[in-house]
Amino acid sequence: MTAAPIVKMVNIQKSFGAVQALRSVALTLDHGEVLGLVGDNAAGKSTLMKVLSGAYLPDAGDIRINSKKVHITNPEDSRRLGIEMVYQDYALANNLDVSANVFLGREIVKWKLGPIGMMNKKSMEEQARSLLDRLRIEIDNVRLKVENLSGGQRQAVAIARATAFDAKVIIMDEPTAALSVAAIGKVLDLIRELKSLGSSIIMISHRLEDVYEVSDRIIVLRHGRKVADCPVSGDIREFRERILSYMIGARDDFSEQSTE
Amino acid sequence: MESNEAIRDSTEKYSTSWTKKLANILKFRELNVTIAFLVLCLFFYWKRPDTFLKPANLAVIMRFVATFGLLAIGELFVIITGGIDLSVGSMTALTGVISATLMVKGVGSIPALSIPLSIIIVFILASLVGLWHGFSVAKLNIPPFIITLGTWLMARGLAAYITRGYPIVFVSDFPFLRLGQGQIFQIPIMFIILVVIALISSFTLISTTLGRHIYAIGGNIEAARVSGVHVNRVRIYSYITSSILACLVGIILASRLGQGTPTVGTAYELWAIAAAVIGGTSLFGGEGSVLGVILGAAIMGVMINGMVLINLSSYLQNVILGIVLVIAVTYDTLRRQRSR
Repeated sequence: MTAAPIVKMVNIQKSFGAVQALRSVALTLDHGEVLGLVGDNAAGKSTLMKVLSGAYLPDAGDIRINSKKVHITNPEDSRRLGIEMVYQDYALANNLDVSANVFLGREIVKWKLGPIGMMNKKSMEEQARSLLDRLRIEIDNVRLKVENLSGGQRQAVAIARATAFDAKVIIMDEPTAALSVAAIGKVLDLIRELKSLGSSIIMISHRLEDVYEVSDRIIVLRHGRKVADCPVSGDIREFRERILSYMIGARDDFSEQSTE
Repeated sequence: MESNEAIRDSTEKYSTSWTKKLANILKFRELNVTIAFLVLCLFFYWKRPDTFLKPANLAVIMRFVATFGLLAIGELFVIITGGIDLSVGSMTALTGVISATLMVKGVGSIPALSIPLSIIIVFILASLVGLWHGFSVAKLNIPPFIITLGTWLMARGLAAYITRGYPIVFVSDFPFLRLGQGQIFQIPIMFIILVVIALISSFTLISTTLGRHIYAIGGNIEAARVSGVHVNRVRIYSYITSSILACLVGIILASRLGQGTPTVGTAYELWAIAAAVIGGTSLFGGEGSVLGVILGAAIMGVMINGMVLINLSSYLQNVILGIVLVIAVTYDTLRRQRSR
């Protein structure tokens, strides 16, 4: 990789009261890379991603997007920089249809009068359709209400939604956690599809086999510290054991650097 | 859980297109209420063919539908977001009393104001009440039930205080009275107002970003928030809409009765909520339509009118309305659970 990384987070720190959730964590994400972010519960994965997506303000640290220093203070800032987050609980309105969810908060309008915009539903439906087709998501009709979709389809819509607006970086929080085996396969295919279309992806997961399947590199957090940052390699069993030993604290690649 | 998913996936594959089409027709939310409405009309026409379709009788029904339809549309905007507005009945009394006071007596040393100016002033006052409700719910996180219950008491009390309990009566040829009493081609003007408001609000809910955001908030407020919907602003607009429509009804009723009365509109909020619910509005938020709500009000209007026409005891009338309400909600809830 010769180009500068698309995301570079350095020395990120965040405390909640007495709890140090993140202790000087560094993270880089290259263009077109899928990064797996793993760790036990409360290791700081979600906190780190919420810092990047603007939900939390870090106490200290630098964030650079394409080597330009940025200040992300709210979710809109991060979205403007091309960072989209796919939430664990899908963050969809189940009473609305697929197209409405894809464009929620960013509806295409014909005209606008103060706070009221006249929606261009046809254009939104067409674009939603072509988006689903491009990502090879199997949903017959974009007018289907989300509550009538399967879990896998909902996750696919949530991911499609994140990619609809030229997102450069997509953060996925446990995209496969609540899904059936068949649906997991489809979501992983979708992640590969996105990668082939040029997106850079950070995937939080505790399902190591899913991380192994799609990620290029993996970062392991433990107690708010980075303990491993290495390419995904080896066979699945060896990989699994190696990562688990990082997660439970048996191995630590960064212990000298970060202990005071 | 995983096997459930698999079963659902496989059943989806087996359903053919015509069953899907049939399912879509049956899913058309307003179909049931439309059928119920038509059946009721046929029934009362069969019972009283001499009276039911007479223009004078239809006007009675239309005035009822206009009153509760307008209130229920306001209620709809709030209920879709997952809220409730209990203040609308009292607000009709307060706004009616204030507009009558402004038009007939004036305030203190200020003489009586013109009709349009008085109407504008009460609308502004009502919007401020709606703003207060929306602000309290959205920004202060006060339960809508409580904040509007407060207004329910305060507005009723203020209406009585302003008038000292006595109605403020218009002179009988006062031009303002045409609003509530006039007809155009045997259609009450207030019903025409309902139609216009229904078209505007239906357009707002179906075709505008504001409407979509109202539904989104009712469906999943957190999803709406992270999607960049201005959740607080939209909820405030909903409560303002409800208050403004309550004000409109207050003005219309003052005109219709020829007086601003502090006792008008008692329990109207409950009738409006009942109309909304019969029309398929979900009290959990996220579901409901203007057409459904008006059909709900029409069902109630036709039933009340029809039960009078067939000389049913007025005590029994309420029993039957209550039964209809319970059936409507139960049916809707069961259907929703099955579709999950």
